Amino acid sequence: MVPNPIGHRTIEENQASAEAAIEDIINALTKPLAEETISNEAEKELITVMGEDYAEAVENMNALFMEKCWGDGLPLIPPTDDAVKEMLKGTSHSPDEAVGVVEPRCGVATVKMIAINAVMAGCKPEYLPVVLAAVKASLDSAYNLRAVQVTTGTAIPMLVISGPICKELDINYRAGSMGPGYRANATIGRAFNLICTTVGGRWPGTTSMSSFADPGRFTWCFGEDDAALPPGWEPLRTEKGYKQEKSIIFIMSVLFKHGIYSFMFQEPYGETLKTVARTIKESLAGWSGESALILGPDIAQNLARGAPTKSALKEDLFKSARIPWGKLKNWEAVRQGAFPPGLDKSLLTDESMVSPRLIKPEDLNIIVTGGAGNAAYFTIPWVRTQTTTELIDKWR
Amino acid sequence: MLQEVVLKVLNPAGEAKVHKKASATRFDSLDGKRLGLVYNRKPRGDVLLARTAELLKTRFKDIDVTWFDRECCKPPSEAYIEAAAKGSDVVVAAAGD
Repeated sequence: MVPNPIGHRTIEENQASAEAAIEDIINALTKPLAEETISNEAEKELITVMGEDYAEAVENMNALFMEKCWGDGLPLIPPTDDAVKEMLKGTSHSPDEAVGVVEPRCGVATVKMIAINAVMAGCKPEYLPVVLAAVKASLDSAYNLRAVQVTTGTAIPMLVISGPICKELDINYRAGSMGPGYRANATIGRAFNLICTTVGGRWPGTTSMSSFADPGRFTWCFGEDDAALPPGWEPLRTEKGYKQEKSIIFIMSVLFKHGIYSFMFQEPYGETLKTVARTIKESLAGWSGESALILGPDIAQNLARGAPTKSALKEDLFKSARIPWGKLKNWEAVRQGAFPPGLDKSLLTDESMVSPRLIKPEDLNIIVTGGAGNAAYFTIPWVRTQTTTELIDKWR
Repeated sequence: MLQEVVLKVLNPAGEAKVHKKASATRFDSLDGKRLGLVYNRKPRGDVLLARTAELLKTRFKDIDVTWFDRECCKPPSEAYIEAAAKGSDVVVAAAGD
């Protein structure tokens, strides 16, 4: 009745919108709905396209798929029956097994559907278990897939792979780990996002209302560098309760990614800690407490001089990245009552120190990846989503 | 032009689960009805709903208004849906952003 967005309009404008819409509202509440015919005619399973030659046929297939909102704008590999059968050799799971329902379209993601999209993305069959695990992880209710698919905000699926499978599949976790150059990184993330689009129905401006979206919605997939972890720092998978020898996927729907670039090599631990803490303190306060601190190996080594374990670093950052409640309570998200969740505000005084981001130290996920240099990112999740994980090995 | 190559590819979207539900009751008049206002606490949704309720009260007699605030950005709980359904004859929702 009244189109979005309404948040940016004045009180008077919104009142006028209500006045303009009132007849429609009354009609909607009092007139019976017209009988709707919902067509349940399913699209055909097998689609035929033609061309003067193979190249033209593929071009026509791509054009057709884009008409149907089955793609990401980049050329797709044709998901022929033979190609999908080959892809399905990457898993022992039955093609008909339903991994879950992908909203908002409520498409049923079977193993075969996921394999079809993996072909389109350019995956090798051995990548399929990772894609299956990524989809499964995203269907955990804690991830809140429907919301991150449709939001006006930025919600970028970040896929992190932890475990021996990184070497096995040549998933990049060294220099340029988040950029181009490695087929596994490029296509696993792409396959996941294609599934969000084709099976899940995420389409810009119609179901996905994200103002900008993000290039990460093409692909954002990288590995954790086990060898670069300082002594005493656990890999992500054992922190999450999995065995060292197993491989997992960790998925976060990222709202913002803050670069942290003020590091100097060999500076005292306390100085580096302050630099990281400053970014956390200045980040947007939101509903969820979880975040991720992504460190290049050099920064990790520097921080490890003062923090012999990841837990120690989390504790130190939790204490350092706090501001007085007297200041934080005036932030917009706090005034709206959305933050901090679960904290008894009646116990707080203006002098109480509160983190705008971390409800507890464990809310910070620390990931080591990348090459030499001063790089680090602090990523915060979309407002009501949690990170989730899934064991990749069970999808082999 | 002669079409030489036939390419057969699999549908990547597959079946969608379609949930068909019965429509809520429509009343001839809203006189004496309980109006539920469903608000996701996003900015200005409250303004829109408050003005809507005011206008409906000028058009119909004895409308009883109840606000059902809920957390934004995630599906409402079953308990919330039940409370709103049981507590209202008609519902107007604002999903602000």
